[in-house]
Amino acid sequence: MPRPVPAVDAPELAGYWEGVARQVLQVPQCPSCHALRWPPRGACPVCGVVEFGWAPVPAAGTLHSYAVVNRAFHPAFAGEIPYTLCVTEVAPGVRFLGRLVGVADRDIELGMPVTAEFADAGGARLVYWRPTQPGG
Amino acid sequence: MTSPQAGASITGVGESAFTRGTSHSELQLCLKAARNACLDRECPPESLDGLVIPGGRKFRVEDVVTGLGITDLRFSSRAELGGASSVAAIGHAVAAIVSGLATRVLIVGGWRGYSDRRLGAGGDDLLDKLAQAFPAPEFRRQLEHPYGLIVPLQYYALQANRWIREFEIDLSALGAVSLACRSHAQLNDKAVMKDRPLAIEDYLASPIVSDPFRVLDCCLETDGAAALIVEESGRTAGGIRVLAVAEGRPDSPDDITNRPDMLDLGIAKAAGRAFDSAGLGPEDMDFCELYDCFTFVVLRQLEEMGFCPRGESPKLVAERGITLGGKLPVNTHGGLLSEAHVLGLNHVTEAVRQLRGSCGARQVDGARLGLVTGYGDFGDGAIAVMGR
Ligand SMILES: [Zn+2]
Repeated sequence: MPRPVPAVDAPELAGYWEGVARQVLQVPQCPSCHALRWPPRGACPVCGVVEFGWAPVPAAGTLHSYAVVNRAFHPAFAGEIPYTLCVTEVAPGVRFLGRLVGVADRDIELGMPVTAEFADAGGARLVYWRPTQPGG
Repeated sequence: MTSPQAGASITGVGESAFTRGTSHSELQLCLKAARNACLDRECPPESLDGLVIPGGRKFRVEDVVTGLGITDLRFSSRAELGGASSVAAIGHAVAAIVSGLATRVLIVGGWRGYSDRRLGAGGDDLLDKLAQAFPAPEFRRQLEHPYGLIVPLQYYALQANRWIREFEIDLSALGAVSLACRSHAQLNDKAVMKDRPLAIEDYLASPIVSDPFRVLDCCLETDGAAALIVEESGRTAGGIRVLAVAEGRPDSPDDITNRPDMLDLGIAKAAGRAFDSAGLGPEDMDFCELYDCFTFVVLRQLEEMGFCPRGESPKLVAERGITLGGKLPVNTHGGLLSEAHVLGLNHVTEAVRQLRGSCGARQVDGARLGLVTGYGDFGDGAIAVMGR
């Protein structure tokens, strides 16, 4: 069974995935008050403006949490078990869900610096997070 | 000033059979439960004039009207907080009663949780079903499914690991919840897990699904329905008073990833409101029926409701005791973990029977005050404080 892939025509998220395709992380930004609107909501919760542009955010951050998955709930992921989901914070109020790679379970620490890597899986370019190498 | 919420009582409760496998539709299970609640109340079904349906059900208001022969339904609503809907629905019913919009309100919900929806069953439409079952389905499809974040357990594992790391949690407390529910189920003829007692060795041998959660940290998947009747207090002897009821949502209720405090739960807001309204606190409760989709959720609710500070529920559970005979009996029917998953409505029917004193071998001695919670979606919460 094929892996679920993001639908790049979904209007409010298309810019995010278009950025990922170029190996850039970008999120919607309010053109009026400049608040980052992530994940995208119907209007800026600060000032009410519905329009938005796109602002780049760092492709590196800190590990906010993680989950090691030991059982596949969809056949597309059966061959990837075990895998590690992670939440990475790249800017105040901006976190991404992704995959954590390159670290043994026992060495995972909350707050550890991680850097984005972009790789293709099952027809989509996705974001993987790897512990940042010293000096890297 | 007396709370207006003191004006309503639960006057009838009923259930269908709780099974793994059924030939009945969701609606049929619900109609059976509703009729049983009417029998319990000793009122004809056509006398119902209000209806609240907890969220996500397949049937419509008209299906209940025609299925029960109701002749003049004056009030209807739906509560939409996922698994917290069953308890939030009590709030809708109380509001309808005290405002005079209705006089005898039915709350009914149920599902073919085993026959229709088993998560382990897979299927092409599984991802769509899961996305649609949550708020903001586009976030699920676009931002989470591509990475293999799909089922509730995985979301809760993200929260659990923050909790475990930050507070150095003793994970044996998860097993204590699982075992307490299972031991209570041994005293409950309706419990799917009756005659299947559990020892700590069994729990520890249970496979890890998503660390730290084992199979035995997860609720059952069952077929069944339950129903309540809510009326103005004093209309019949033996009603159980709803002293307070409240619902609440965490910050960023559609997205755990970007929730400022990932451990925030709606029950924190709801419980504060409910306890204030009732003029009571956690220490006054003789028992608690806590929504237990996962053992972890039971522990976290105790913390966020103020039974203890965050991170100290394992200590609370060990010191006070959550099994019958302990100081804080939890899920005296066996809960979603060991009785059946009836959307948490079975927690309410159990609380009513505890306060009536009709629970037999599993009766909490002298129970006068108790609470029921619901928990749904990404941490929505609802609470009802009840008393006799
Ligand atoms: Zn703005």
